[in-house]
Amino acid sequence: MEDSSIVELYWTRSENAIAETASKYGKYCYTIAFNILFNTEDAEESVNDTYLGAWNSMPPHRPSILSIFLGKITRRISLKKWRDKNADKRGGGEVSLVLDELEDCIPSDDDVEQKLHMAELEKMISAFIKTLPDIERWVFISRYWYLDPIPTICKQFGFSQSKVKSMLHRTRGKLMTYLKKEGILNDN
Amino acid sequence: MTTDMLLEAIGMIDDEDIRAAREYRRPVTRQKVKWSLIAACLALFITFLGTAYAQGLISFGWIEKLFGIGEQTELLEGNVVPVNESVVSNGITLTIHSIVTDGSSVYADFSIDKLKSEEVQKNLSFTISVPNSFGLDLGGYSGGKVAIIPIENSEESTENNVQEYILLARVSGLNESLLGKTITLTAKYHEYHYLESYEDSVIESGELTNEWVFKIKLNDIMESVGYTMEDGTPVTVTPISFSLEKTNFFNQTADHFRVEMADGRLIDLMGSSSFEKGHIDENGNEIPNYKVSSIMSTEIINPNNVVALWVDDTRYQLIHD
Repeated sequence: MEDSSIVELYWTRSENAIAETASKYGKYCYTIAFNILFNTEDAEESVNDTYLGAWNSMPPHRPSILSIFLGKITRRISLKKWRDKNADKRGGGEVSLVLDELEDCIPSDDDVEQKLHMAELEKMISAFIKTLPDIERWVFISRYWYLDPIPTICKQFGFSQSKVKSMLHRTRGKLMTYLKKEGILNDN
Repeated sequence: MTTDMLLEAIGMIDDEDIRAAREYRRPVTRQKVKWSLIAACLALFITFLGTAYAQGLISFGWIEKLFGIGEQTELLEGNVVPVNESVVSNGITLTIHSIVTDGSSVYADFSIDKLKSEEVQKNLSFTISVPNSFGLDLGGYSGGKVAIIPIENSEESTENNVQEYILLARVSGLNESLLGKTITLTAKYHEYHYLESYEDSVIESGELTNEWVFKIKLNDIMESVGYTMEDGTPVTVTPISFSLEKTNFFNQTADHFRVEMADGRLIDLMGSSSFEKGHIDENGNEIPNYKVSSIMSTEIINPNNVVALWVDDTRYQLIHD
């Protein structure tokens, strides 16, 4: 079923909306959730919560790319679940690794120039992503949006592990430079 | 700002960017072709000269001669691998399907056992060393890395549960004086692996080294290479080489190379790049030399139909000689 038709089901409050969503995007959402939570039950729960989130969001939203709309909901829910489960320790899965990697972009709390509103930061990150060459951008998104494991990224792009790792390292460096330029980090 | 905030902020980037990242697939397709086709398609060598900014132009030349590789039949002691036979070393099976050269690069089509455990992660690296035989300096990848391109969903990999690769090594010094003679290529396979259990955080690691020796006899000189398309249409392809001058690639690394065909198709080229120290010009300025080597493609490229080269997002129009 076309995305626009599925969205229409939500708008008309049809019972079939979630069934159609699950049929088309269930696996997609599950993959995102599992990458984060690394647990089948938790991932399934996140996906179910995603459907509820979608039901509550449409209307008023009418997303142009339904998959990404749902993916964002799944990602947010899954990350929250992960934080709740791992408040006092680092859990397994890709999130711990990714958070460690992103520390490259924020050397220490002392470097934060000012309190930042999330909306501002989201805008800056979006703008930064646009400055990257295509492949570098997509590898960065695969790692830090989809939280794909490195071997999965290697397979998709046909790169070696060392190439992927060095590319991500370079991009994180660029992000730090960008954040300094925008005045978020101290330019030490 | 914390890393959690950063991770959350990344979650809200543009939808189109997120979709594009998922939809990108490295376009490697397996062609059921004769070994001669591999030699025909893959000899591309680009040298960039980084200077002040100027128009990028491509001139195409022709590699007029190819060396044919005969079926090697000599079996020596140790792990000498004839073409189309397998050898097992340390429990790993390697099969060479074909080996060809165009006089400057050597290509091998081979397959190797897929590892059964999904939990084992490994690094594969191959080295091709060409010993200094017959008093010639064969240079090339002696002790160095070669380009290994995995082929997705090939018939070989599907039928026999192996991973198929095309391996590319650049060597120099192969010429007509070697006709009828046998040279030796040694392939080394060094594997690192570790096993990690997320529950127990147990890590085991180990190394595995395998070595195979190929005997290759140079047979013929070919001016062009013929092959047959899947529908039986005969096609002749001559390898191409081209150089790119006066570019603005100073201090940059390019990741993505494509040729643009006359029908609008963009065909990805795969390979490695390097940035080498250049030369000093008359004013004492160092001109960096950006070299891209081992460029190859597993799709058929007819050089007559190439109209442009894309390096990352920059297009370079072809000028025919």
